[in-house]
Amino acid sequence: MDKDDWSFGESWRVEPSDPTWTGTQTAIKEQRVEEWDDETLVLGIETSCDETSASVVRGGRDILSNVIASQTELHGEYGGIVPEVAARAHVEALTPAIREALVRADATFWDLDAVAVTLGPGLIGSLLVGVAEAKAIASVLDIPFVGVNHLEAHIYSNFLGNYSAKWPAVVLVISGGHTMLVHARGHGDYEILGGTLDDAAGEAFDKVARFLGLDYPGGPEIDRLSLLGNPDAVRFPRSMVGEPGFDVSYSGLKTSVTNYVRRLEYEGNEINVADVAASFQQAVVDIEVAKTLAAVDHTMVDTLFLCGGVAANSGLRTGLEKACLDRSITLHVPPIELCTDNAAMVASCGTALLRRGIYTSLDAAPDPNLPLK
Amino acid sequence: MTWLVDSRSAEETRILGASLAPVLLPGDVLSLNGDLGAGKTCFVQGLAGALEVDGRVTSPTFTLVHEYNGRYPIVHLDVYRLNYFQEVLDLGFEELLDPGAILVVEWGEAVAPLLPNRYLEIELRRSDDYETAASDDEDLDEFRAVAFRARGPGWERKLDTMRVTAEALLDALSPDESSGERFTRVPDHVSRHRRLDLPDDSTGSQ
Repeated sequence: MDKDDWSFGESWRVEPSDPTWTGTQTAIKEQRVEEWDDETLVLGIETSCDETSASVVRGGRDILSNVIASQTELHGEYGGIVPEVAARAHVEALTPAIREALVRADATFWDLDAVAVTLGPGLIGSLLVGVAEAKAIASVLDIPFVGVNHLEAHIYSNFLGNYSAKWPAVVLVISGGHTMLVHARGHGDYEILGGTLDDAAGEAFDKVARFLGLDYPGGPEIDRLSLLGNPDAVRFPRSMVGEPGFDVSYSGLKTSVTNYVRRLEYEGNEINVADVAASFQQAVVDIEVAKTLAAVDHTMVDTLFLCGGVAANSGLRTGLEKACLDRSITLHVPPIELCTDNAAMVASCGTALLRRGIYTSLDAAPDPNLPLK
Repeated sequence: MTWLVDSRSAEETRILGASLAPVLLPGDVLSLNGDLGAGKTCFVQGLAGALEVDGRVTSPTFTLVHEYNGRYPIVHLDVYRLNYFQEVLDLGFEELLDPGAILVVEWGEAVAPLLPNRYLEIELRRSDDYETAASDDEDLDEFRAVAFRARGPGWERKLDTMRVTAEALLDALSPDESSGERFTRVPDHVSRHRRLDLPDDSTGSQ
């Protein structure tokens, strides 16, 4: 699209008291919505939990920049503070992250066609920071503002830089905060098949790692140790496998790992941490693979999307790859920096919404419990 | 004074949570403590179910705060992942102490100085008495000692009501094993809870 059609300077000159002002603005937006194409530049902002991230994505698929403020190169910008859950940390990190995202994308604010931001689910204080900033940018530039569901955004991480990803698909979102299986039939057409009844998979990994005295975050540590241990050393329960439905439960597994270790400790036996880690990981992989394959069979799709931080787990990847190969299912796994929380997926999801003519009112408030519809 | 009860299964832990529901009012604060896998989330599931929360109650360890809407709003907080008081305050803890909602804090004793004067402390502990577990080892793994400790005025009376409900519900669950009073009253003992480190500078403490 020709960006000169609608210069920022022109709308700037319009007097706010002019009654046509709002009308003109809306008309321009609607006209532009029809023009979303592969050149559309969308700024994505993600502040739903720990990560402060800003990204510029072209056409919903090409990542021009994806800045995650917990990355080391940005630390100099805001005094070396690693962003925490605090909204305050997001406030400090977000503006430098956006600036950095624009610089890396070789773009300016005036090149942007829309701003997409995570509207939920997440922590209300953290969400507010991103939403307020996105609204400010959208209203100053007079471009559409799109609120995005964080979980829907995770699904779109599979489309970034990946032109072979196609609907319909079963999506396994597996991270520290979420574990769910979604039947994604197309843009905006999702059905949640099942999810965890208690702990998310990543959370179970971290808690077991902490219990075994491994470093935090423990997911990668268990993964590393698993390569050294025997996955068949201890037979931990695979709860809910073989039962109907697609829900999973990890509290039973977590408890049986701690019981096993406590029992050995009490009896004065030495604990082979690598074996326990490998056996635990194998149990998680078996549960997830079983439920995911059941979901694929149920929905009769031939595509599987994997996303969320636990997608980095080598055991899970191998397990799913093997299972998918056996059944000729196409498995898509985004690179790890797109598996964890990031703004590129938010921008991609926002672009898809805009293409369908959906954008969000500037009155919209973040929703910590926003459901995936 | 502390009330102690043995929970023989996750189901019983859920019932203990549920039997607390009728006495709860908005503004009440519950501090929930116990090791990994002790059944804290399980307890909250029972509580939330009895407060007519529909939808799933899952562990907020990563997401930190979950909010549910049942008969009253319930705020479910987990400070396990946090290391400093300042982080708890940054999370908007003072706003979470909403008089219109029931606040449940997992690992609450870690932030005891931030809690109001009046709250109920619940501790779930696994039995580590392996000596007595002669034959049925697996069952012992399910056993939890659950302690209810009233902090500040008002909770003693609520606990009396709660105990009656809990006894009845536990009896109904396993009528064959009905063994009279399940709750016992024990003196308070010194708490062994994990506490958050004070921040390097003194800004975090209250």
